[in-house]
Amino acid sequence: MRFTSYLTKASDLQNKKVDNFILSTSEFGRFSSLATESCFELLKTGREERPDAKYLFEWDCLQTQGVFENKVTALSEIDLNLFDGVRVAELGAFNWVLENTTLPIHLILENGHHNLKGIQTWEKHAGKRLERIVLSLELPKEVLKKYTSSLKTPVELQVLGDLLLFYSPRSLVKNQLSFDKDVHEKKWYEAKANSEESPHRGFTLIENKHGSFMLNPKKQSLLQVLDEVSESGVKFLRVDQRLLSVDLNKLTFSQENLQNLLPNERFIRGYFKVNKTDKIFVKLKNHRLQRRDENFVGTVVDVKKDQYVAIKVENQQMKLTLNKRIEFATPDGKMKSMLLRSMKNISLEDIDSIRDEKIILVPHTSGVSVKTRVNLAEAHI
Amino acid sequence: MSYSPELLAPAGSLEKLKVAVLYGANAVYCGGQQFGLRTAAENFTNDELLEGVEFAHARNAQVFVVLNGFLHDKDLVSLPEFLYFLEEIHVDAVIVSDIGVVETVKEHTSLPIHLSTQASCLNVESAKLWEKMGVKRVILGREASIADGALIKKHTDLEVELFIHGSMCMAYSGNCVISNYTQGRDSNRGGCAHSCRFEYELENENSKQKAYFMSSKDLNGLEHLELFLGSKIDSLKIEGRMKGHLYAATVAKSYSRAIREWKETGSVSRATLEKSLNELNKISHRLYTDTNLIESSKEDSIFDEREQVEGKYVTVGFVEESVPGKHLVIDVKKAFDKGDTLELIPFVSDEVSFKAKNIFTLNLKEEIERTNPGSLVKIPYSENANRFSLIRRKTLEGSEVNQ
Ligand code: SF4
Repeated sequence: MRFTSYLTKASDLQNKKVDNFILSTSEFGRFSSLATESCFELLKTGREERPDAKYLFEWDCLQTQGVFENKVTALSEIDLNLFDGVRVAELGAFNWVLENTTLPIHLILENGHHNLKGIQTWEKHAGKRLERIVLSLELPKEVLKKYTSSLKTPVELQVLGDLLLFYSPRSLVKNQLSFDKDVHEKKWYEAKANSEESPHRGFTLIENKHGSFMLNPKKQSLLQVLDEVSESGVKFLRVDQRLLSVDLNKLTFSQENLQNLLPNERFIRGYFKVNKTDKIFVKLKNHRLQRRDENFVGTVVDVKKDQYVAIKVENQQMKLTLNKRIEFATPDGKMKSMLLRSMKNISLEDIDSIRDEKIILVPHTSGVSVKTRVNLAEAHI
Repeated sequence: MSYSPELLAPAGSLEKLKVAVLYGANAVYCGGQQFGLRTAAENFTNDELLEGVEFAHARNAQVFVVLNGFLHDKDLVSLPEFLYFLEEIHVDAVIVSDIGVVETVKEHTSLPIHLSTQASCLNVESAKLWEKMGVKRVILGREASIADGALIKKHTDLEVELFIHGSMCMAYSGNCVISNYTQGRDSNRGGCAHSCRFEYELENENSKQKAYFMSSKDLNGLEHLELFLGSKIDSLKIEGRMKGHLYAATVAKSYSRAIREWKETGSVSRATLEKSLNELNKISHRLYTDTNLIESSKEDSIFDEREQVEGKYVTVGFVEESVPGKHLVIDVKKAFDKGDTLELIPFVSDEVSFKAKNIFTLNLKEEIERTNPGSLVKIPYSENANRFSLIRRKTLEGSEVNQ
């Protein structure tokens, strides 16, 4: 099995299981602290020491127009052609790289992109330039299997790293706590957060020049199920060791080794086995799915015991006239019916049919409450 | 083509759609029963959508339907049927954030596509790409400024929509999955649990403190309205499908009053701005900010307080029927007493204060001392009252929830 990982120092190159190295500078990478100069030095060292490997430039920060323009200026000062490809996450960056370079593209679709149709659309759009697609950690293996077998482009998945929960451009951490001088100099602020209103504790917060991030308390690891990841058709397995405080060259990519290196960390598999986050979604949506039937007249909006039931007429097409039978469907599921012997408009004039009345009063019927739905009964017969 | 700004208001329900249109919005956005992000909003049934479209079109207003969840494969299977329905009832556009949904809409209908803010389109390059993909309008991410919007208009043929008012998601839109991992609910398909509004205990090796550190103040761009209009931003968007009737009416009326003046005179007077700002301050809101519209967010854009839902006024109800010279039928939302001073909010003209001298049951047989929410009552007629005019009163001491 071959791995893709981040090149943050020369010793990382010693891990021979990694043959794709991502280089990311603090200017372009969400979680990178590498200066541009160091990035190019590492690239040079890599080419010398590991000529077999690929070296990929990553541009995964999000950006508004002004920041985008700064990035483009910064790119004009470096030679992107020294890399084997560019990895992009933001669609503006994707378009720019497509139109302004000839380099192979690794498209990071980790955010959203939960349908094959959408992924294939980007694949088609990028054409031959697309070398790799990075898929979302929220896709379970069955879905991954379907996607990898339908896509022409090889797929990458993170198998070890952090779970990013939240990314904001705003400065949210720096001013909340007291930080040492060197932290201010590096412009990299870290803290832990415990929710006061839910049982969740130990979120990692990071603020850097790209904004503020919240990470899941538990790290993600699929190292125990790498065979299953491969079986799902994923070709490139990514290890993001940058925030794990572990040396890449010490990783053997087994869970045991990982746990030995990081005894205090807890790991989860995320949604690889199953993703049920839409369960509540289905439950919340269903309660109003019912359609009104064609005999629907309106809804009871007021009831005065022994006096009247006020109906808000919501279906003006319904020709309600005296001596027709109406049905009441109460909110608690009971049905009542009544022969319409009298009807008044809101000015309390007797009427024998509805014309453009908005509210009508009919005689009181016990058991009928506000929000009861009113249908014309005859049409059923 | 001459520039005619659109004031786009949220419609969390059919009633709110009507309220928004009557109070001056010339477009509204609403969700059907599936495919959107507002799970808890009273989304529209198909019948309600039809009625909403007919109501809006009869008043020269447009209706956009939100399909902005990041949909899964199985959702796309049932989507076409809904799209055919939307096209049949002449919905004016659909709001989409997912490229798979964009493709599905294009394949099955000729409905115009507006790119949802959820897609975080923030720069010219991104807008150009979406233009190639066939969208007609981009709703920019909340991090974009008015100047960014103008630049995107300059470099593309896209319509540009920008938020001018309402709550703000603290994350880059579509880039928050806190609820997915903490509550098992997909925030990009309607399950956001608003974890950013929670209080957290923050800690590093030097210090510790409790803070509402990731909650945003609410956007209020009224002061920059002339810049929006001068930059020919096509659509000025108000957030808030989950908010109440009073919010829908107040925000739509406040902004439409100022836009109307701009259309008539080419500028917005200080007096009009003050009047509208004053009204916007009366509804329930977090502290206001104009963050990102001119400059990118600073520390003062964080709302570092416990959530409060208290406004200066509450809606006591709205006019269900108005019989000039005789009476108003009020659909009571919040209890009020005989003798209370109430304020009618006409659609265009100034608020009218009046006393609820008598309150009657609908058949006029009983006089009521205190109304019950959820009931209909009759009160004497008041000038400028029309069907759906809102009636409010000042908040009582203590807290009264209203939006
Ligand atoms: S929790 Fe807050 S930041 Fe996250 S999606 Fe919901 S509103 Fe946005």
